[in-house]
Amino acid sequence: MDISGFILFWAAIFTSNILLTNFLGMCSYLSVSREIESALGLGTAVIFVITVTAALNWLVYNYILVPFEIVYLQYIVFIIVIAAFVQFLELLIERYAPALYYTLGIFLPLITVNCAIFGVVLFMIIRNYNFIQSIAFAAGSGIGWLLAILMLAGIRRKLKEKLVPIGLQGAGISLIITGIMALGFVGFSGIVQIQ
Amino acid sequence: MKKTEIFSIAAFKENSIWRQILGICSALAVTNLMMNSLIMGLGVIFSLALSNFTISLIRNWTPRSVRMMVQTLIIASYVIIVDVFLKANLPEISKQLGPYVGLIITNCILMGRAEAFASQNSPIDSLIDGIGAGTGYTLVLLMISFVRELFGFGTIFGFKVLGSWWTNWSIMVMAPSAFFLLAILIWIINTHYYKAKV
Amino acid sequence: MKDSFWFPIVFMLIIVLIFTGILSVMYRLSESKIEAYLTETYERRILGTLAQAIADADAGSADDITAAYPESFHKYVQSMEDKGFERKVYRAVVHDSTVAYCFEIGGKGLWGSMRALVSTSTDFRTIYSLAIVDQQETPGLGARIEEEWFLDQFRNRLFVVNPDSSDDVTQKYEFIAEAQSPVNDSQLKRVTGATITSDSVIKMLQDEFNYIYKYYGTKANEKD
Repeated sequence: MDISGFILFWAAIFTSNILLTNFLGMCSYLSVSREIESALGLGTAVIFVITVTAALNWLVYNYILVPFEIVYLQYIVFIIVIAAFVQFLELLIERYAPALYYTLGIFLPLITVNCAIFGVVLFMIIRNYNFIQSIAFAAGSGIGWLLAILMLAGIRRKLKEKLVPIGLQGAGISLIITGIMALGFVGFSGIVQIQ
Repeated sequence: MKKTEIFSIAAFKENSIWRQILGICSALAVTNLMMNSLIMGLGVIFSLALSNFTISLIRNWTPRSVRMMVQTLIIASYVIIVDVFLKANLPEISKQLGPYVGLIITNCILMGRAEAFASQNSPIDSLIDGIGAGTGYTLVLLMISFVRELFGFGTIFGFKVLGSWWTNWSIMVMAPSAFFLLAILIWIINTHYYKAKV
Repeated sequence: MKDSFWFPIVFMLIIVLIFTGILSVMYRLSESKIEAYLTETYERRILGTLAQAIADADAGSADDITAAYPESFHKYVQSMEDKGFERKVYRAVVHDSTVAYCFEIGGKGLWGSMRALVSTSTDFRTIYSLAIVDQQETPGLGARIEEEWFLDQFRNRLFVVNPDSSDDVTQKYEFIAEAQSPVNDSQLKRVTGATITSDSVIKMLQDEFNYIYKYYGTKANEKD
């Protein structure tokens, strides 16, 4: 595979954005985008978790699952690695940054099932990336996710939400905004070869 | 609480998608065809019910510090059990479900119900809650995919309904349309069902 | 006890063992069934791509041949071992002479790799039939490349038009919309809303045919 990690990194942020192109990682994205500060906090945590767990899962897949022929357990193993790491991170944040812990609330444990993280791991396996490519792709995806959530948070801050019909406030208008952004990103599809 | 109340609250009043805004990712990917939505929905109902039941069974024994990992493991196991069972006995259906297996495991609804209900209620109640939440989810998916399939392909469940005079709306075939449809659905439900007022 | 140090670890281990145990048992029990099903589907596909060529050379119709699986598969289809060639090759043999070849080819789609089986004439220039084995494209969109109308476009299609070229030996194609009709042989219909996936199929065929033709086409006299 000769796609450089550098290109994968940039492609993962812009042209194959994990959220706006692949639609992974929606739940926490929609709910935590009310404030820019919490969006920034969650996004940074996600970048961290994505990159580390991609690296860990790559090692586990290639040095444990494949040699021992237990590849069919891959979903379980990957999600456990992610869950364990997030649990560890939760304990750390609770101890050293309690304000962030309080703001994130249920969305910290929900990072575990953030489809974006699991999706990145699956993509890296399906596309046979090597270690460097995996890390580049994962880091880029994390930053792409952060970018998307910051964009939505920024728009919502500027949006005079009182002008939005009552029934559409909150989740409704966020979905429409995201839909428009996603349509914009459709224009990027296929520009950069990432497999 | 009566059993039917648990079901209707999980399915309608506290519906996972339009009320709690969980499970959105799959709502975008599988709603292009009604058949895909139905299969995904059934997979979710099954896994959700069983995982809720099991997590509730061991809730008094589960230490707080490994709570998330235990829940994740149980959820993932049931989804894979469903997948292996289908692959061996109903391979055609498994082929349809194939790409969505991963999506069920990370479907926030399963983790969300585990945290919110199963970890604090009895096993039978949790089972019903799981079935209810799954059913509510499936209904929303079917509603969105009904519109998307009808306008995007002119078919319902694969049966051609609109004649050749109809030009397919490409936007309905693309995922972003699910965003807009879901927003409209939430709007309608908020205004009429919850009677949202100023 | 729940909050002691060791209990969580022991608890976790027990749960992990129980569930992975159940999964492993389920998997091992079903493994052979799943294997058998996959092999059968694969062999039926190979037979499907070769059926018309067999029917033309022998008796009966293509449908009869496909329906007579597994007997017809074992009667007519042979797998070929060739260490220098990096693809699986099968051939249809009727009355001791080869009537067609079938290659397993691969390429990259939008979401992941795709594999297909393509049957060719004995001079390796014409595609007899194309069947998709594996793809990871979007269900309802890119995945529609498995539909009959799309694959039928490749039936009995002369694909190698520049046999002496050292570059690309294949026909160049342009895509037209699904609703239109092709006006000449160099037009193919793409799947609506799945341009990249449709392109990937053609790219896979072109790349693989270049490989196949340059290897076998030039050795055509050596192959029986």
